[in-house]
Amino acid sequence: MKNEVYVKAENLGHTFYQGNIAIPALKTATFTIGPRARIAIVGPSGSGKSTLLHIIAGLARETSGAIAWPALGPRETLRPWQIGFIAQEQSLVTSLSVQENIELPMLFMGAKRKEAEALAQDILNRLNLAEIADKLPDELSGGQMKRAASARALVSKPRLILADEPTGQLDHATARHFLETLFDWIEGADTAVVMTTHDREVARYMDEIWTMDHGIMKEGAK
Amino acid sequence: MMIIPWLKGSFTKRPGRMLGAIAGIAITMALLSAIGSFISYSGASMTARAIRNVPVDWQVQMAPGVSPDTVRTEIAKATKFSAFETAMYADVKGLEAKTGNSTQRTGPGRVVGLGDTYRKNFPAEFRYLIGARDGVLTTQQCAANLHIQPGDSIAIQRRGLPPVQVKLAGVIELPYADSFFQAVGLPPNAAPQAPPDDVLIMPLAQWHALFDEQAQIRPDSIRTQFHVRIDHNFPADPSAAYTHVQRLANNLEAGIAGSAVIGNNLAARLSAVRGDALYARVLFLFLGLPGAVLAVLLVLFITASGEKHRRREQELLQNHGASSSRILGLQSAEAIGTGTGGILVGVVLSYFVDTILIPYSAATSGLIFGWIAFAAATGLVLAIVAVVIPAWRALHAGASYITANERVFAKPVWQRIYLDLIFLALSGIEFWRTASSGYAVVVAPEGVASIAVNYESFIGPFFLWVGGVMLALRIFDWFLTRKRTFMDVFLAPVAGRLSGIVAASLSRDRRYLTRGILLVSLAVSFAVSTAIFNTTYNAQARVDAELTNGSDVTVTGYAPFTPDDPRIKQIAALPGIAGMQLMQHRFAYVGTDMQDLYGIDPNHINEATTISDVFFGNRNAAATLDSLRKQKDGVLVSEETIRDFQLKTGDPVNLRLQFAGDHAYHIVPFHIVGIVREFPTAPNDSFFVTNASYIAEATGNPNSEVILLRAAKNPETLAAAVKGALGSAGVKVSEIGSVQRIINSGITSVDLRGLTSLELVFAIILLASSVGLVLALGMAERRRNFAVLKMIGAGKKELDAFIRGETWVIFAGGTVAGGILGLGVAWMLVKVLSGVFDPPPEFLSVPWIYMGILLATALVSTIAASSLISRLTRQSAVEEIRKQA
Repeated sequence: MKNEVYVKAENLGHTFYQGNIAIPALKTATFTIGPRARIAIVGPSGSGKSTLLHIIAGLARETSGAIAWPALGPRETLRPWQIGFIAQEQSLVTSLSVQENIELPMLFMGAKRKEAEALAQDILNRLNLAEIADKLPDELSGGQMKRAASARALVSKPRLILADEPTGQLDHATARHFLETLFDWIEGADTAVVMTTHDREVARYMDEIWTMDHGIMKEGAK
Repeated sequence: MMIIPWLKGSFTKRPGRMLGAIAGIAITMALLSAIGSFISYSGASMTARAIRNVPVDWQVQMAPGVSPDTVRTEIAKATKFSAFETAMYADVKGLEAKTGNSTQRTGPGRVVGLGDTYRKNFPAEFRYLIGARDGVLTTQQCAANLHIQPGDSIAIQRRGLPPVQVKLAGVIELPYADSFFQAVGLPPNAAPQAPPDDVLIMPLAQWHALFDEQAQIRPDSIRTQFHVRIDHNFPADPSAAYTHVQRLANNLEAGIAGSAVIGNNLAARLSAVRGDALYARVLFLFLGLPGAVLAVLLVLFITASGEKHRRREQELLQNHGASSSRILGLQSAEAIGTGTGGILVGVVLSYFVDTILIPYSAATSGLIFGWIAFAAATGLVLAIVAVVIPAWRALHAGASYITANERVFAKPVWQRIYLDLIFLALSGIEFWRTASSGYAVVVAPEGVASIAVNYESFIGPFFLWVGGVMLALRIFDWFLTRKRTFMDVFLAPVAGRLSGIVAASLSRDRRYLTRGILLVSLAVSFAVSTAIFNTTYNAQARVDAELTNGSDVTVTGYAPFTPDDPRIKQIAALPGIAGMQLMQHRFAYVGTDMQDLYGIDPNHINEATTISDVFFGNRNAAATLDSLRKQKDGVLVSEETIRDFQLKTGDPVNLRLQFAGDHAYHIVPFHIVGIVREFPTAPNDSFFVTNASYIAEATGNPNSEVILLRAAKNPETLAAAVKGALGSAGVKVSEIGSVQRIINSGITSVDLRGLTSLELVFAIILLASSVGLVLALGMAERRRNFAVLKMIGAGKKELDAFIRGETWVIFAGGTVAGGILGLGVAWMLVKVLSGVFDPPPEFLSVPWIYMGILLATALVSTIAASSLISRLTRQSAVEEIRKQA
């Protein structure tokens, strides 16, 4: 394993504003994420889990503290090359089929259409999603949408996978299958995984559990 | 209680949609009120102009032996009048004059006696050319026939009495000789009689002194008429005015039956104008209504683009216990709010637009405000239809009434039943029917006094417009679904290597895309067809005026221009002349029928005036002039003469022309080389065109009566320069602009400039709004997809590929389809409305600068919309996804 630091954050904070009212979603978080990290972020709703994940993904800006991605490169090139992000909400492009959605990150990375198609088909098969490959998002169940979005996050083989409640809409068996497939997919690679979850079962698959409480992160071991 | 917060929320959360709807309603109102006001005003102004151009309203001819007082009393009973004059007509055997050693004698003529106040009451009957305005006057043609000038003596050959001598005081023109000398009381379908060529006008006292005795001996040769100007308090519309005047005359005829008959010049003129007024109404409707329809569609599109949000709001309200009627009440409040906003803006805009088109006065204010009120009511209805009906539909259809499968794969009903092809077939059939009936758009049904518009004629262009747009949508739909490879290539310039995936995305969003293409192509086709039709119309109005005037500037003199006339050199030396040609205007007898004869130089006539293909039977001006040039004694004969005298091209024909030596008419042989329908300055349908050199040689008279001038720049300036150089005595200088303004022999007299300029401005506004709003609102609807793309790593370049792909398809599809369709509709409109044009245009005139502005407008709107949506996608992707979830 290389001795690299994927993400390094110190006293990270994020405050929303509704008019003049400041709402601190994340008060303080200091951490590092390295290769092969398996981190679950747990905590009650509104504790700042998703906000933290968005900042790590480069989707939101910190309002205090500092964050850097020493081994992943500048913020502008994090996604889809280095970071794969699985959103909590439905996040498929509604006018594209499942397969086309999965091809997107590869195309953004400059892959040829054929190459992107082949990779998308591969992951669809491995995640048992081949039968919904040609379906449009509006025709999928919530669970299918989540799995398709996950497949899209994985297809570019990013070095850091960030997943916001990836198993939230899945039953236990499907959730377990999803996690097994995920880890199987990244087996042997230096890929790190950080996911938020309410599910203690899911958290058991991870090496570390970070607990969020009122915007304050407490780093801890499994 | 909820209404105010609801309205406040609607305006703050959806400002684009609300302001777009308000603007759309205001534009609809402005267009409607502009069209309505202009139609009403143009009808009224056509009536006013028609009345102004009638020199004498009624010519009441008394039966022999009837007391004039009786008739006068009956006229006073029938209507108020502002002028009443007695005109005495005497038929004479001929007129005779001696000049030098020769004596000229005319055939039968007429001597008219008029009271001292006649000229003041009916000034339009006379145009003074030379000499005094009182005393014995004659016409230009009679003076030419007798070779006399003011101061010369004329012998009048009275019937049954010895000749009497009178002294000529002046030469005049009788612009309305046809009506002045009309045979009053002929049946309506009787052939019109030509006015006499040899005429004398003299004071009434003198006439009585010379002809009272003839009246005793030959009462059949004397006629007494009362010339009357009646009270002009008519309805504004030409048709209603015609009916009113006709009824007044009918009423009088009932009172004077057997004592007198009426020549109703006013009704005859209004009868002609009411046809023009109907043409004008049709024209305005056809040019203006598509714009109003487009504005309505735009409002509907704007409100429909918020459908998803509305459904979500309704679900929320229902979840919180709001009843359907409560929800509809809130939506109605929104409609009323939007409608009120639209109406307030619309009233201001309509007033502004209407007062640009129509001079505001106490007389027109009622008309303007009446139409604004109508447009405001329409605006309110539109707001309710656009907001409340979709809300009602959403309430009753449920939240997920459109499934993905339906949305993507279901063909619209019109595509399944091939409604586009049905419309196009109907358009073709109707056009063929209209063409085979000679494009008779305004028809006078047999046995009915009123005339009507054959609105069926407009089914052709209308169905071409609608069917064409639908066919374009079908074709785009087909390309988007079946021809991905083509779309891939088509999108490559804007989407680069992502063109394939962008094409896939667009094919799923094709319902939205086709809606965008629909609006853009409708806007483009409206703008293109309106612009092309208007330009063709204006060009044709100019051709009409040039045909009437002869050229840009036309100089005619009482004394002809001799070959070495110093006036010719004076004119030729003036600056601003692009071409100058001398033309002979003589008279020739074919049999006993006298017709105008024009002697031209076929090699150079083009230099001074436009000789159009449509002037000739073979529709080829160059070939016709060439055959005239090749045949020295060649003559072009009007269609009517060819028909009446059973002639054909190649036939020899003998005409009688006046020779210079003895001023008498002698036979000159000609050969017919072609048929002529129209010719510059030719006033009627029967005339000849021949080689000036041959006329000069045959008659010994090389003089020219007319000088045609083509202006290098401004005809008005050139006309002023000619007048300045020659003075006005004995010379008439007319320029095309003033003729264009006073022509009243057809609808091209209607000044469309105000309305067309307005339409062209509205067309650009509608195009910009359609392109901009369609793209911006449509893409704002799907901002979430852009947020997802951003979330998974799309940079600006990748997002732009999707944005530009979409805008490119709508821009290119809409402008290409709209452009082709606009051209087709303009062509068909010009054909269908060929009755408007005299002569019909040879080709469409395309305003390239305006077309360039249109294209630039569409392009700028597209770029602006793309930039706007690109700016919107800069927002936090996560925020956007959460907001829309």
